[in-house]
Amino acid sequence: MVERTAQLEAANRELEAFTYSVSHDLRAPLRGVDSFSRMVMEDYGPKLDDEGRRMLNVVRTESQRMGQLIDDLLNFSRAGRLEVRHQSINMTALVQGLIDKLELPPERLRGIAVRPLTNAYGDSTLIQQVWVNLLSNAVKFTRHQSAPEIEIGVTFADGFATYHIKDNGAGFDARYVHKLFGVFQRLHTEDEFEGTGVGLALVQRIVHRHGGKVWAEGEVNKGATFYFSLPVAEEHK
Amino acid sequence: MNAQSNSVEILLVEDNPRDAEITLRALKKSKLANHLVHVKDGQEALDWLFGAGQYAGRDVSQHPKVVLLDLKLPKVDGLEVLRAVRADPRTHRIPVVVLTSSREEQDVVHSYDLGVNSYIVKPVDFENFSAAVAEAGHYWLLINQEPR
Repeated sequence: MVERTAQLEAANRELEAFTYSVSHDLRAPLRGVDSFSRMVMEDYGPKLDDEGRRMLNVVRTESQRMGQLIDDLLNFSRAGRLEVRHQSINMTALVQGLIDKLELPPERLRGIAVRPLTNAYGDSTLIQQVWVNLLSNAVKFTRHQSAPEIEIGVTFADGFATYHIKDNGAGFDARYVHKLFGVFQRLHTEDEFEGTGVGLALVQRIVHRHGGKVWAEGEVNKGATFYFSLPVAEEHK
Repeated sequence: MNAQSNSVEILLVEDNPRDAEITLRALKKSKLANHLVHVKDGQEALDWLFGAGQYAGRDVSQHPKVVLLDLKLPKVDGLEVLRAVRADPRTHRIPVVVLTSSREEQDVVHSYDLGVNSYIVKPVDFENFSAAVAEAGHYWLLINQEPR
């Protein structure tokens, strides 16, 4: 047992070091790629033809995408390492605040319904991240709907509060539901919907760390519903 | 030109030649790079600041207006440089701005514990990086009032 703990601690330290090195060492060359392609554009852009400039822009877009991947991956790793600090969270205020921050046009806001949510017990920073990811997904995947609808609510059973967010967007093929929460797994092409494939993996990791579960239902072009459950704290029962 | 305008205003401590070039380009665009010294590791930074090694005899009382300090450096790392600068009465008031790729909380906290004046995470994106460097340069060279 003692030996096992020591091994785990060593593995954790190694992971720390790895994450640290990723954040340091992968960013620098990436900044080089982005910056020097940009500098070519600034200094030699006029000498290139349209195709040359287009190709250079591809270099830039790709390097920025990789930057996003690294950031997402670091967030993912951090969510596994950070200590979970439990406190009471006003979910209604949290979700409403995040919706306000999205600064959606009025016609999109009209389609969002937030049912009364009971307070949760968890780490407010991490739970906020869960909502950010689920909300931005719902908004993203309803982008092409003429009348986008998003509904957020909660139900209770067996000592768990189950929050859900339901949308009428692009949905997903239920055959691939097992891939939904995997890191770097995407069920849509980059052309259809942008993304790195880390968001839902992060959601799952955070919810698991709170002792809850995540799952989803969906159908292509008929929308998706994401659920996550959190144990109801003793004093809230 | 008076003696003041000839003195070094920025000490750039940066081992990555690409980052150094981008930093210089951004500062030059804002005309802030006329009095800049670039050193490439922590030991060279300490030698310059304390007039040792290849910089023996440099007038140590001539302070830069700001030190732009990378954290991950060969030989002596950025945090050690910061610690040495703060520990010596000849240099302890020099403004030090950490300019690093690391957004790790431990680096931020450690830097502040050691008395850093500002902590800037280098953006990956060229425009954002250039803007951050130019703004920092502008602030520390033209807006900030240093002790005489």
